[in-house]
Order: sequence, then C-alpha cells, then structure tokens
Amino acid sequence: MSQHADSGCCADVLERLDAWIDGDLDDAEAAAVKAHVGRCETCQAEQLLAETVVAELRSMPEFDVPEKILQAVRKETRSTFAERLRAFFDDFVFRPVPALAAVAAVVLILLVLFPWSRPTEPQYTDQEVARAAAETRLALAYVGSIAQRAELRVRERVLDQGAAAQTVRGVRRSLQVIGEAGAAAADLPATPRPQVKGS
Amino acid sequence: MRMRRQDFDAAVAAHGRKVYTLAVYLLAGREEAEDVTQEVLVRLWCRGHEVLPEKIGPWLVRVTRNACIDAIRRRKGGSPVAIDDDAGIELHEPAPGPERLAHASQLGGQIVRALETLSEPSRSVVILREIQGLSYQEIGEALEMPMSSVRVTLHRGRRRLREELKEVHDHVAAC
Repeated sequence: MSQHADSGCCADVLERLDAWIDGDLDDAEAAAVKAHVGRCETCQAEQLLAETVVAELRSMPEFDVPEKILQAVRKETRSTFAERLRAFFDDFVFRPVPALAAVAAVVLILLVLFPWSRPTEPQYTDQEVARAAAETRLALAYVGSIAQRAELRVRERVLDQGAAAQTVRGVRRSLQVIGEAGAAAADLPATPRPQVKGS
Repeated sequence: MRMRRQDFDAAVAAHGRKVYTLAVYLLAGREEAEDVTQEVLVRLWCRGHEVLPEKIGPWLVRVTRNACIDAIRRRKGGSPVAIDDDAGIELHEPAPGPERLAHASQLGGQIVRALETLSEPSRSVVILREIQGLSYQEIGEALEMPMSSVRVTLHRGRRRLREELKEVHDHVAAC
C-alpha cells in the first residue's frame, strides 16, 4: 500500500470524501472512492478525521430555551396586546367608520345583556292589585277595631273614676246659678232644671 | 393582527429549542443567543400569522440566522466584514465575555472554536445538518437554497473544519 497512491486521484477522492461518507455517491463512484481509500494511507487518515469530526458534531448538545427568556417573551407579548388595544383606539382617527361600527355593536350587546333603561314603574297584574286591596281593607278593619276597643276602655275608666258625675254636677250647678240669676234679674219664674241623661 | 396565543405557544414548544441552539452555536455564546432568541420569538408573535403553519420551522431558522448575522455585525462595531466566496459574511469574531461552551472532549472544544472560523452559509448549514439534524430539504427551505447547493456547502464546511482540526486531531491521536 503506497502512502500516496496518486496525488491527482487523492485530490479527486478528497473532493468526494464527504459525499461518500454521507452515501450521496452512486454505486460506481462509491466503489472507486472506496478502492482508493483502501490503498492510500493519506486518504484513510482523512477519512478517519472526517468521520471523527462528523461524530463529534452529531454528539454536540442542543439547548432548551432558558425559562427567563420564555418569561420575558410572555411579558413582551402581553405588552403587545396593550399596543393592539391602543391601535384599536387609533382607528377612531384613521378608520372611523369600522371603529364606530364596532363600538355600536358593543353598545348593542351591552344593552341586551344589561338593560338598565327598563321602566322604573313596576307593572302589577289585576290579581296583585286585588290582593293588595283586600290586605288594605283587612288592615283598616283591624285599625278600626283597635280604635273601638280603645274608646270603650277610656269610657269605662272615666266612669269608674266618677269623672263624668263630677262634670255633670258642676254643669248642673252652673246652670242653676245662671237660672237663679236670670230669674232674679227679670223677675221671672225660674227656668226648669235641665234633665241630664244618665245622671 | 397577531398570531393566536395557542398557535404561538405550540410553535414555541415545537421550535424554541431549535432557535436557541442555532443562536448559541452561531454566536458561540449563550448571552447573545438569549437576546436573539427573545427577539425572534417576539417577531414570531407579531408576524407568525403571515406564515403557513407548516412553514413556521424554516421561517424561524431563517429569521434566527439573520438576527445572528445582525448581532455579529453590531458586535463588530461597523468594521468591514470579510465576504466569502458564497457572498456570505464571515463569522470569525468570537463572542465576548467569559461564557464559552464547555465540552468533555478536547476535540469537541476545538470543534466549537473551529465552527467560528467557518463562513456563512457553511457555518449555518453544518450546524443545522450535523448538530440539529435537519434534512437537506429543510435546510434548503430555511436558507432558500437548492438541495444540491446545501450538499455542496455542507461538504465544503466539513472540509474546512477538518483543516482547522487536523493539528489537534493528530496531537490527540499521538497521545
């Protein structure tokens, strides 16, 4: 085996060495390269180095995106949403028709969902009115009965304490005095005493 | 008009890892990758509704890659940037700050550094294909390249990586 089988041939083989290692050559070319490498130490060394480098490259690690970068991206894309919101309001200046149409649609939806313009006067049914009237009558009757009971109780208390008799006597005396004074003044017969009921 | 929240959350869950991983390797540092990932996901929230659901993945890859290239331009402070033979931008500048990717094997650590020497689009194609396992078709959709160009770019990138790593590999093999 010669160290340099053929320098011209070596250059040609070295040119195609990577394609041969990757299996990209057709059968005839691959056979020619293989035959040359088999008898040329220089090209064998080059083949060994080529395969070693490829193996080293393929064993290099890949890297996951650091969490801090993912967080920064999330934060930045959130601020992009704010930009979008701002851009929407900019549309009022540059594209008022679609922007106003969008606002009108939103207002319409809100009116349907939250109808704050409903009439404030409540609407009652006939049944509700009749029930309320009946309850009112009942309440008034109750108040009337309480008043009646109170009147009776006051009357009983007044009679028990003799307040009415004293009043009657006082009135009777007054009338008598007035009568006598009048008869004396006009020389008329005295006025008959008034009959007080219940005295 | 924005993306629906549930669609956004689903897209982040499905593709967030892909976005962040691509940014970490393109920028060779986590701090800038976090900023770019945040920027890309917020852009997804704002513009995602304009993208077909099945195209969200390729769209995110494209937006992430462009955001990373912009970040590298800002990092360079407006200094001239080298243009490679694919009319891309060289991403030679390593990420500032102490945070670097640590790998168990010596060669693995060297590969991360060697990736930084690749030009665009080779660098993106190598990362997407070999580290993230995207198919040629997915890479083509994302970077808006025909599949044949994806294949050629990938092989060119791997050859360039080997050139960078040959010395380290020989040293490791000798030990």
